[in-house]
Amino acid sequence: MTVAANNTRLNSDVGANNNDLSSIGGGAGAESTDDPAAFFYQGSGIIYRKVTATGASGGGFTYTHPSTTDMTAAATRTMMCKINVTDFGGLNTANGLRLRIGDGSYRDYVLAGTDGKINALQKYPAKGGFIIMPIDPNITAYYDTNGGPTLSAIDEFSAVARFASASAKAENLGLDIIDLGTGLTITGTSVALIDFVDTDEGTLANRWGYATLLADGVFQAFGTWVFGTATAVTMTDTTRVSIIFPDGLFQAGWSGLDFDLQNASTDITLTNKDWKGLGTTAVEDTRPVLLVTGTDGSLTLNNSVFTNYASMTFTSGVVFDGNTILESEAITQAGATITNNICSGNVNANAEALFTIDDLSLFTKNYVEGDGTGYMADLGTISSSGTISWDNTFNTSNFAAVDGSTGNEVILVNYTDTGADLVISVAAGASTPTIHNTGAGTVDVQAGLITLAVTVLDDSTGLPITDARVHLHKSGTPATVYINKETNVSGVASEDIAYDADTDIVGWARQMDVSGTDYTPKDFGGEYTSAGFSITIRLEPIT
Amino acid sequence: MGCPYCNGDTFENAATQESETQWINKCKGCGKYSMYDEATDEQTALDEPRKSNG
Repeated sequence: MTVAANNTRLNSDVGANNNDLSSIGGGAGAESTDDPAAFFYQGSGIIYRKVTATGASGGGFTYTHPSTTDMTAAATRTMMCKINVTDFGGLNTANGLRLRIGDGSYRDYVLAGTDGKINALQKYPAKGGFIIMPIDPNITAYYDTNGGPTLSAIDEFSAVARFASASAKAENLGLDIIDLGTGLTITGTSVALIDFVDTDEGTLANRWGYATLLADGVFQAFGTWVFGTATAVTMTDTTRVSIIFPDGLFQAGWSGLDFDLQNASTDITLTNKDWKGLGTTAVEDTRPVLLVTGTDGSLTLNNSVFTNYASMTFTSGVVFDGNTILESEAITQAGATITNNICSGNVNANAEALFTIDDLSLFTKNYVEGDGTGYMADLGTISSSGTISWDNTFNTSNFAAVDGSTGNEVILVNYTDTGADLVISVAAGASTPTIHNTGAGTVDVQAGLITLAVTVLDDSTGLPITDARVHLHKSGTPATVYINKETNVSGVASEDIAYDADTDIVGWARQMDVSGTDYTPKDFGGEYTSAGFSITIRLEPIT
Repeated sequence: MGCPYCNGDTFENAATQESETQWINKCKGCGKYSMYDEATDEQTALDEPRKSNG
């Protein structure tokens, strides 16, 4: 098993950092040579200082790295800040704790106080301890002040505290090891989800901050957890756990799950999970993203809850079965099997679809509550006629009741063939969808279908006759043909038709192709009703 | 609380302790020394600039 951090660690030797420190505000300077330090998260040391400042500029320290880092690059644009104020109860309520990223000038970020840009930073956690917070200085909406640093050449990281009442007798403000990165990647055989946590927080020398434990069975995930690469990963994890993707000062798309199925040996099953995003769209879209790439391996996600996802993109290697999707949007099938799922509180806008579907036969038995805005499924462009089956349900009150273009019909489709209709056949028990068709062709939704079935058996052996010809038409109206086809290996020929009224029907069955056993043809008749029609015909072999 | 001479807020990390709550700091901007008192959160100018032995 390998869990690799997609991470750049700057001050790997915290104990030598005293030479690279300066003070923000007067008083005793910062310390980084205590080893072990009085408090720390990673390793055994930390940069920390006693701060009692109450003035607006606060007090703290700056660590200046010996070389610069390009914090515009995707791999290093996000700092995994790990910071602690031990006497946090006395912090100024507006901006008690700040983190600065700079090069002489800086951008600064309020990490505890009502000046914080996101709800998660409005106050210091009541139970105290380290705040782990990703900070991306490229996002302009996050900083409190901006001195205009060159983000492609950053070398300064500062911690600043401001107190309303300070009582510290010793070092109380600490900034632990500085990591810049995107998350974790797991590979190997028979791995488990908890391996992320065990390798990150569970290993003192690592503790990047991407996978931590909030409580037993409750994981906190920052950045992207990647499953598999060109190297395979096999995982069957059915343990009931919650995985929380918190809000943070990071770029849209930085947080989430990435399943790479390029290796045919990759085989992942994740069951009984609560995958909950806490991001918002208020400042930046910090909701998690679920992305699957590759089709050679397999991924099964089932019996789990997915909450608040910005997007979910699958491939044909995915089975998504028996899950609940809450308050999410932009789910792309791309060949995946999506079945038996419940969707509620979806947040797609009107004229946008919750699901983008490319194979309706693999999108079955799903229920969508809807909220009155947007489509349930976008079938894309269909250019050739035929019959496709619809076997899903929804709350009819939350979608348009008639076909049209209001943007909240059940199905959006661009059907372009003007030569013949596209038939959407509604399965028994399914809800009848309304259609917004943007193409020139005609879409015909057929609901309330009944099945007419004729089973043909060998009267001598009782076995099914394959390839027997069955013809069935309306009595007295030979032109109204219901069945004209050969039986299958079960001896059955059947068709689904729309029920109109109880109707007399007549027909015949024969198998006389001068090959193998031939049979004496037989006529039959009957009536179809709202329950359909089914008959078994026994043909006598010609000996 | 910044430097009383140049109003800069960055000081060299090394500082000299004068008393339980007082420290002499050297400004990284103007290079002058001043006294910080933790009890009052005040940074006052020194009459005669003194060198830190920190």
